[in-house]
Amino acid sequence: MRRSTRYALLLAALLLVAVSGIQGAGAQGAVSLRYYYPVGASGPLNALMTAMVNDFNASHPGIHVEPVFAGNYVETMAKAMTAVLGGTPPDVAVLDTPELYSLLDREAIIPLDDLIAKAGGKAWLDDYYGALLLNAKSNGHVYSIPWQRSTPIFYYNRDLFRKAGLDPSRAPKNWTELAQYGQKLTIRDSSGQVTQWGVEAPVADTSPWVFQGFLIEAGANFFDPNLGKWVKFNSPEAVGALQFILDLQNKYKVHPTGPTSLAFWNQVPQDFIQQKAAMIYSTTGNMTFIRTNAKFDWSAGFMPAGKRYGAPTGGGSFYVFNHTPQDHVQAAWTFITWMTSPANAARWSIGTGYVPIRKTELSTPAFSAYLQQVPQALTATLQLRVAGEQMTIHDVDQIGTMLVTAIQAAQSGRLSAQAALDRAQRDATQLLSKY
Amino acid sequence: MTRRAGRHLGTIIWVFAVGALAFIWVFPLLWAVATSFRPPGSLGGQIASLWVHNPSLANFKEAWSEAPFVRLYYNTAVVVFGILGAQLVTITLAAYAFARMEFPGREWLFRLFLLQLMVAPSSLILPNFVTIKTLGLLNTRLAIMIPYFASAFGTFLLRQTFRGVPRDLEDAAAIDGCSTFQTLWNVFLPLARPTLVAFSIVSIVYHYNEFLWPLIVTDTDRARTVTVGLASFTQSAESAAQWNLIAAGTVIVILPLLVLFIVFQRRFVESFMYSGLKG
Amino acid sequence: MAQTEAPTLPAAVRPATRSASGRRRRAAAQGYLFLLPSLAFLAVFTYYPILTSAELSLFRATATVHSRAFVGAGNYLTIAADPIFHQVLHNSLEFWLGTVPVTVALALILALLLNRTHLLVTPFRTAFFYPALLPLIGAAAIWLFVYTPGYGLMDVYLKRIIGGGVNWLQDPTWALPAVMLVTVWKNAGYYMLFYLAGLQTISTELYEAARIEGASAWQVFRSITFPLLGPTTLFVLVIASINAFQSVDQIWIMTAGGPDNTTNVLLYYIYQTAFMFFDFGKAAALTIILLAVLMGIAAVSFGLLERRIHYEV
Repeated sequence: MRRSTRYALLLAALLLVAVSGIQGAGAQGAVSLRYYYPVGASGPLNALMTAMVNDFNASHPGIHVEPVFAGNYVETMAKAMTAVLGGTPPDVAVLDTPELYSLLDREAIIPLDDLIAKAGGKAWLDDYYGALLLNAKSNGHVYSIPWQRSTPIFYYNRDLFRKAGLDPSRAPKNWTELAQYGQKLTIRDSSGQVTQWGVEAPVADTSPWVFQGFLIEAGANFFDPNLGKWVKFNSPEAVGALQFILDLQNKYKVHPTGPTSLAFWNQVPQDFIQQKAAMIYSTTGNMTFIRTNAKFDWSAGFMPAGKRYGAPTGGGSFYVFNHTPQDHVQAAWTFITWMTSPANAARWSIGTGYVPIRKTELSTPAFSAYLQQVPQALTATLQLRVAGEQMTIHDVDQIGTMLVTAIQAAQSGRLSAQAALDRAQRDATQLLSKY
Repeated sequence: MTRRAGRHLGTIIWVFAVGALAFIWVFPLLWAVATSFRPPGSLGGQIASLWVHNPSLANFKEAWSEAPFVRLYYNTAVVVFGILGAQLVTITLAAYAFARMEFPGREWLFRLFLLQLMVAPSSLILPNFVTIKTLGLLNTRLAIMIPYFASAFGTFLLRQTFRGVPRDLEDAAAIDGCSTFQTLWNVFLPLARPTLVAFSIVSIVYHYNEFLWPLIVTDTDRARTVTVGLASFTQSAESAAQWNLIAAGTVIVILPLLVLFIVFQRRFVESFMYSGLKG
Repeated sequence: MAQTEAPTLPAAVRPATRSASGRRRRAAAQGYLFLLPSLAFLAVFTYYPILTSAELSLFRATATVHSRAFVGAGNYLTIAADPIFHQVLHNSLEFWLGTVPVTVALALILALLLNRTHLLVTPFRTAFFYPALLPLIGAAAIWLFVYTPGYGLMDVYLKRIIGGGVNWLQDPTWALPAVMLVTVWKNAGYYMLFYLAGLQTISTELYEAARIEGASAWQVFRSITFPLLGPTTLFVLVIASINAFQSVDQIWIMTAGGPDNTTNVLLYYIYQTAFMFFDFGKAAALTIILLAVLMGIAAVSFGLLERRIHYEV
C-alpha cells in the first residue's frame, strides 16, 4: 500500500500548506483599518489605489490601512453588507454614493458632522463641489465624502461635423438642436441600413443614470432630496423627457431603435471610436479611452439642455462604518482627509479620469499641467455647476431597476411613455410606503 | 473502393466535418487572442479581423503588471488541488457506499446529497461567511476550499460508474480475500479512471474560475485567486471595456488551464488502452 | 444479483459476527461510515444554510437581521402575485427546454466523433471544451463583441448568410436566444467530456462481437453504445438541467436580466433580490422555490430513467 500512503501524505501536505495560510494579524501597536474599495474602470486603477494607500501608511506610522479590492460597485456593496451582517464590518469603504439609505437602514454607517466640524466645519466642506455633496446629506447630516465621481458628458466627432456641413466648434446647445444635428449626421446606405447614427445615448443600462440627466434637464423633480422617501416618475416633465428619447429613436430616427441596455452601455464608446456614432452621451470616465483610441478630431461638452442644462453625478464616496472602535473612526477620518486632500485628489483624478472633487484641486501644479494637455478634462467639472443630484432614496437599486424596466418597455414599444412611467411610479410608491 | 481507401476517405470526411465545427467553436477565442496582440490605441478600424497589423506584447505586459499573478497562481494551485484531493477521498467513499453497500435510507440519503447541486449559491454566502468567521478562517485559502470538500457532483458521477462495474470482478476480488478497501483500490478505482479524470478536470476548472465566494471570504493577495486578480483591472461599469487588455488578461488566466486540460485528457486514451476489461 | 450468503473465506477475514442481522448491521454501519466525511461537510456548508434560508423565507427581512418580522407565507404569496416572477419562471423554463436537449445531443455526437485515436483528436477536443475554461469576464467580453451590431463578429461574418439588422442582446425577442446560444457553446464540450468517459468504460469486446456479426454502425449505436451510456446520460441530463437553472454568468455580464426582464431567470432574480435589492426574506423564499423546482426535475429524471438503465453487464 505504498502508493496510497504516498497519496495520503500528499493530501496531508496540501492541507498543511492551505492551513498555513492562517496567520495572526500583523500590526504592532498601530491602528489597523480595513478599507474596501471598488474598481469600476479597466486599467491600472487598482495599482494606483494600492500605491496611494502605501504612501499613506508610510507617512502615518500610527495607522495601517489594509486596502481590499472588492470587485465592482455591486460586488463591493455585497461584500460590505455580508461583512456588516456577519459581524465584521470594514472600517471605511468607498461605495456607490446613492447607497446612502441602504446603509442607513441597516445602521451600517455613521454621520460625519462632528468630524467635519473639527476639520473646519462649513468652510472646510465648501471646498468640495456642492453638486457632489448633494447626495451625501440626509436630514441635515453629512454621511459621505466624495472620492471617485463622474458625470455623463457629451462627446462629438468634429470630423463628421465638418463632413455634414456643421460648424465643428459648436456642439448642439439644446434638445431641438440635438435633433436637427442628428438628422444631418445620420447616414443611410442604399438599402436603407444606417451606417452612421447621429446620436447614441445609453439612457438605461443596469441603472437609469443617463436618463436622470434628461429628467434634470426637463425640470422634473423626481425624488425626495431630503429623506429619500418619495419619487415622482410620471410628472409631465418626466414623461416629456422619456418622450423626447423615444422621438429621437422613432420620430427623428437619429438614434438606434429598441431598448437600451447593459450591452449598449458598452457599445456606445466603441461605436464612437469606430465612427459609427457622431455624438454620444457617455461617462467622463471614458475620456482616456476615447483620447487613446479615437483617430479623429473630437471634443466634449455639456449634455444639451432641455429647459436647463443638467447632468446627474455618479460614482463612489467614502463612508465610515458603525460599530467600530473610536480610535478606528479617528484613523479612518485621517485617511479620508489625506486621500481627498487637493494634491492626492489631483493624483487620483489625473491617473483615472474621475472628476476633480474640490475646487483647490484645480490649482495644484499637477492638475494645471494636466489641463494644458487635456483641456477637455475640465468639461465635467464645469458641468458640475449645473449638475443635479443622482437619485438617492430608500431601496434605490430596486426602484432604479423599476425605472430601467419602464424605459425599456417604452423603447420596445410595449408601453407608451406615460403608461410605462405610471407603472414605475405605482410600483415604486408601493415599495416606499413602508418608510 | 478498397476497405483501406474507404477508411481513408472516412477519416478525411471526419477531419473536415469536425474541423469545420471546431473552427466555429474556436473562432471567438482566435479573435480574443488576436485582439490581445493588438497594440493599445488601435481598437478602431478592422477590429473584427483575425489579422493583427503590428502585433505587440504591450497588453500582456500591462496585464501582467496589474496583479501579482505569480502569487495568485500559487494560491489558486493550492486551492484547486487541495479541494480536488479532499474531494477524491470523500466522493470515492460515498460513491461506493451508494453503489454497492446496503443500508437503510440509502436512496433518501442520495437525494439528500443532490441538494448540494440544487441550492442557489447566493443563499450560501452569508451563512458560510459566518461559519468561516466563527472558525477563525477568514482571509485564508482554506476558507475558500472547505465548503467544497464534499461533492455531490462527484459522488453522483462516480456512483454511476461504480454501478456499471461487473459483479464478477468484485466477486473475484472477494474470493481472493480482498477487504472492502482493497476491492475499492484494486477493482473499482482503476475501472473508474476515465471518470476520475473527467471529474478532476471539471473540479479544477470550476474552482479555478470561481469568483464571488473567494471575493467575499478573502481580503488580500495572501489568499486570493487568479480570477479576482483579473477582475481588478477589467471592469467596465465606469469606463469603456478595453478589449485588448481584457483579452490579454484572459489569455494569461486560461493558459495554465488549457495546458492542464491537454495533458489530462490525453489520459483518456491511455486509460482506455489499459483499463483491460476482460469479459 | 446480491448474494445472500458470504462465500467461504479464510478465518482471518471472516466477519466476527455470524448472524445475518449482525452482518446487516455491520454492513449498514460501514455504509454510514463511508458517508460520514461527506455528510459532515455537507451538514455545515450546505444543509445549515438551507435551513437558514427556509427559516428566513418566513420573515420580512429587508433591514438588519435583528429587526425582521415574521410573515409566515407572506413572502411566498408576494412572489406568487409578482408579475416579474411569472416572467422569470417562464424565461427559466424556456431556457431549460431550449438548451438542455440540444446541448446533450450535441455532446453525445461530439463524444462519438472524438472517441478515437488520431493526431487531431486532442486539438479538436480542446476546441470544444475550452469555453468551459474561460473566466467569466473573458467570455463575456468576447460575446459582447460577437453580438455588437455592425462591426461585431456575428454581423461581420454572418451577415451574408443570415442577414443583419438584429440587435441581438437588446431585442426583447432575441436576447434570450442569444444568451442560450452562448450557453450551448459553453456546455456542449463540457458534457462531451462525461460522454467520453462513459464511452471509455464500454468493453471493446462488445464492439468486436458486433463487428463479427456484421452489425451496422447504427445498430451498434442503438443496441450497444446508447444503452450502455444510460448511466452517463442520466447523469448528463440531470446535471445539464440543474445547470440550466444555476448558471447565470452570461446574463450577469451581458444583459443584466434585460431588456425589460426578458433574460431574467430564476437564479438571476435571486441574486438581484439578495445582493441588489437586499430583500433577504424574499430571496430566501425564491431559493426554496428554486430548490423545489430542481428537486422535482431530478425526481422525474430518476423516476423515468433509472429503471430503464442497464447498470450491470
